Amino acid sequence: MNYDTLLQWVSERGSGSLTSFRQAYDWLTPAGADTDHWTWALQSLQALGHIEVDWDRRRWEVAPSTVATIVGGGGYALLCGARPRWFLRRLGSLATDPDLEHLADSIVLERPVPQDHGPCLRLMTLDEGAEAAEVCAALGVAYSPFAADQLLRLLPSLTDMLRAGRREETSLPGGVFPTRMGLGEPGRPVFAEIPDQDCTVPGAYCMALFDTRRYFYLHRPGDVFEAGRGEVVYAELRRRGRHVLRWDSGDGSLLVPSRFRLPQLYERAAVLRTGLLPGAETIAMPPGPALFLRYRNIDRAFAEYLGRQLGQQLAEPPAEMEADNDSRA
Amino acid sequence: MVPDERAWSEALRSWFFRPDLAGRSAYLAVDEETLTAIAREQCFDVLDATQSLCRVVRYRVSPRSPLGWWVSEAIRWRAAGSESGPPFLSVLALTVLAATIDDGANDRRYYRRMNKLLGLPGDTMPRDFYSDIQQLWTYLNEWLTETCQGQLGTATATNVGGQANVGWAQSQTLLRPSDRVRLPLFFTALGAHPGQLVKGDLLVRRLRSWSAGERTFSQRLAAVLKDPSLSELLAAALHSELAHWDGTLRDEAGRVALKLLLAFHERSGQLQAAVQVPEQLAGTEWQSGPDTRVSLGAAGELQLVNVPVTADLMDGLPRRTEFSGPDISGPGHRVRNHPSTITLVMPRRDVHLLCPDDRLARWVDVPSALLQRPHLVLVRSELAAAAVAVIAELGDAARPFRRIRCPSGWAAFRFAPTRLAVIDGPLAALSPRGTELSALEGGLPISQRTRIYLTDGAPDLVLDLREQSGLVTVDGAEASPDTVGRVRLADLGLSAGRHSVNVGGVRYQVTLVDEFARGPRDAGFSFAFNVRESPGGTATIPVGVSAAARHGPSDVMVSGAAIAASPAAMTRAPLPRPARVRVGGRHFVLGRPGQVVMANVQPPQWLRSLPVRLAPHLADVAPALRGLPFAPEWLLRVAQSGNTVSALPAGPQIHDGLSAANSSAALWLQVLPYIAGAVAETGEAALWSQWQQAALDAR
Repeated sequence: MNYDTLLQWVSERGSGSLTSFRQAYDWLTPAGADTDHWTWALQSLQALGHIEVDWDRRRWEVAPSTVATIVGGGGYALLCGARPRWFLRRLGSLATDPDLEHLADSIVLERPVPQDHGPCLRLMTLDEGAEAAEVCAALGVAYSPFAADQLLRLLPSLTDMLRAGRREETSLPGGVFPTRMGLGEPGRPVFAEIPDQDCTVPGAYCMALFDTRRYFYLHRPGDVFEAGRGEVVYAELRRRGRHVLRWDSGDGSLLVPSRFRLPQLYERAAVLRTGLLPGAETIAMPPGPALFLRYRNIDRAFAEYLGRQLGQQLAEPPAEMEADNDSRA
Repeated sequence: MVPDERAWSEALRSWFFRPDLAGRSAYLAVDEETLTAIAREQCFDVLDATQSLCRVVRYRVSPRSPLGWWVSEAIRWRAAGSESGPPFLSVLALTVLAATIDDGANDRRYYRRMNKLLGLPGDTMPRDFYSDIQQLWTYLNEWLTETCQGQLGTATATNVGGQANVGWAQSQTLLRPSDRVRLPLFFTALGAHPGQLVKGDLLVRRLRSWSAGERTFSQRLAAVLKDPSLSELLAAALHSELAHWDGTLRDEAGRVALKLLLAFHERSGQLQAAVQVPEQLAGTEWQSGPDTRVSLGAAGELQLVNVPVTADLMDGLPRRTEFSGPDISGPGHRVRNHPSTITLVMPRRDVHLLCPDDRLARWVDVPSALLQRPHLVLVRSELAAAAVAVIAELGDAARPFRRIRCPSGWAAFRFAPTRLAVIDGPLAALSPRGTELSALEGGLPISQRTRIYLTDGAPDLVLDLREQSGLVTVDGAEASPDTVGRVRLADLGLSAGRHSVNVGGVRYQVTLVDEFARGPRDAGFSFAFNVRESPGGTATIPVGVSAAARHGPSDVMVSGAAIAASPAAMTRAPLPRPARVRVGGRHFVLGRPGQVVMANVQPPQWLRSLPVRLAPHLADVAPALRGLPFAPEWLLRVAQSGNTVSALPAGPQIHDGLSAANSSAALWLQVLPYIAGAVAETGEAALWSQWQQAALDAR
């Protein structure tokens, strides 16, 4: 699966229906290849800050080309959003650009860094933030200093995220297959069928249509909120008092059970700390092995703030983790 | 009023050549039924419209030069600039009417009927008819093309392939209005696109197989399809119809009709009607009876409409609706000259195929089956047994579906096709691609309408199942399809530019581009939050639902990694200012004079583990400050290029004395010379000078 070609297509085209995205993704998928579901790929591109999706209108749009600096970034900045040819060409030829040649020694577009399940990471060497701002202004693209930290601090809390989706109707809407979030044990579906079809019990619900799903959180009977999957999952975890996030002091990374993938914008904040999608690894811990997503370059303060916003207390991973890397489900 | 010859000519013009036909084929498709409709619309005081037209035309016919009067009128009209409508449509209409003989047309039959209509004796060609009729049709074509610039419809009269002079009239009557209404369904079944150029003889062959067993085409068209001498004329007509098709369904008068689709709500078991809103009708409301109100949304949207699904509706019975407003012009609403009435019609089909569609959360009509997708099949009961056999041929056995409230006379099955096969007749739609022409599929389209693709994303050519033996050429070079009838153009190494693909009678032009975006793009969809006061300070709250959408300005706008925040919002998120230092050389953390430890400044761990070797030139200082035995004030870097210092911000470092071993008087003495020559960053020079002096004094 060539995610770089997918991102180039997204960047040159600019916008489209979700059907067009799915068709492009399917066409790029080699026959018989075991690749991610198309919505997972879509969510990954969102987390990387490349596209935005309006699920109600079933449309996607590429995000503005953005140069984002990073805390703990070693003097590099990320290229996020659209990566059309003109943008990469101009960044790669500053030395011959009459407007920007004076920056050619201090701003260098590095070689692409390949990553699994997503387009290459593109890093740009910077000396000073002011130079990044100057080059962005000259090219007409966005400059986002310390985007991950800025975003995290500006995000509404989980409660406010949910409140925005309060439904006027006091009941859950009809769906083809209503399911409710269970205990979320590893190896079992997070959302399971409701044997008694009772949709009045507080909890997180998923109503499947055909290709897409809608998520709801029932706070108490008659008090219903619609939000993204991550929001309702973490609301339910908070209601149950379950704390699932772990911070690994060994390498400064955040571990998130893959079945409890973070709410979209919180995940984006974590991903923008490196521009890399989280690696997946199986970790042996009680009650059994579980698949975790590892978000890197996350310091403790960042992880704690993120956890607080989601009603989570951080735990350390087990002292002796047995990790089986890249065993993505 | 009692119409005279001029009134009839003008009435014919306004019926057959109208502004709403601009750019589309216009036919003088006269038959007795149409003449009656025209007379009614014009409020002509006549008992028999055909007789009325004959009477006014015969008045001008003379045995010596039957069409001479109209030829003279036409010459004067042209000399005057052709500004009014053609003054000879009345006589052309009668020559066309004569061609509407269902039992086959030969010269003798045609002239017998035409002479009778004109009031002439015999069954041979009238005098000078050869040159006169050619002149009048040519004038009509020139008027449509040159004077009107196609704004009242494009010219279609021709005698190519027809029977000499009779061909002109036949070219106007090959397709009855009732046949033309069904052509969009035929084109849709072929998978053809509006404006596509397809060879007419291929379309004729496909129309023969598509209409096999159907009872919905006119006897006239059925006869034309069997007559080889008319095939060329029909081929030209079909080619032109497809080339000028705008993708809409129209009624017999050529007005846009609203095509109803079947939708099925699984939980309630109810069949409903849906529409895909045509651009011309976006944003309008229509009323049909006291209970049926249809409000149409934006162009291209799929929506449910309040029209009960009955057996009559599924048999193609049209419903008239009256315009009830409002006349909206806004985003997605491009209504300007909307009609006062429109027809709602669910085209009559013997089989409906419904696929899951998330837009409506229902099963919705599709033109033909899709490979490997689940379908709900509604088939007329008399064809149910045949459908079960076809379904078994194309996939697993048909599974009857009973939890559906469908009108009597229909049966329902579940069906997931796994194979391709050519199926003729009314059940052809059950076969995926079974009726479709060779088509471009997949790829990475920048614009599907104009067929622009990324160079790395040239589409696949999928061959027509019925005509797989045809030669495939790409830019004139032969290309070989794979075993499933597909040519992956992306594997041919085509460069950026225009490319021509030919297969059978279907021709495509594809443009490949390395780049398409020309400059920066503003944020479209974004997340928007507003700042509000809260007990703990300020909080951000989502504007609307917490999803990306188009928003007006708010305190915080997030699109990808681009963040725009108001000053009020920025108080929540002051920019972090992590202390950073160049890597390379040796680093020392300085506290008060006399306090020093060597710092292990390393590039971030995550960067060192990347699959591509990078050479980070900066490192955050914070990790090097953990566990210091004193409060750090300066970071000294000793390098060949010179010694520099930078001030360290007061932070929450924990001074636990654990690293005391690294701090010693010996190290201080060793570092002092570097301190003496170290230069501070701009803005910190005075402070450093003060500290430096104190350190040197303390020696």
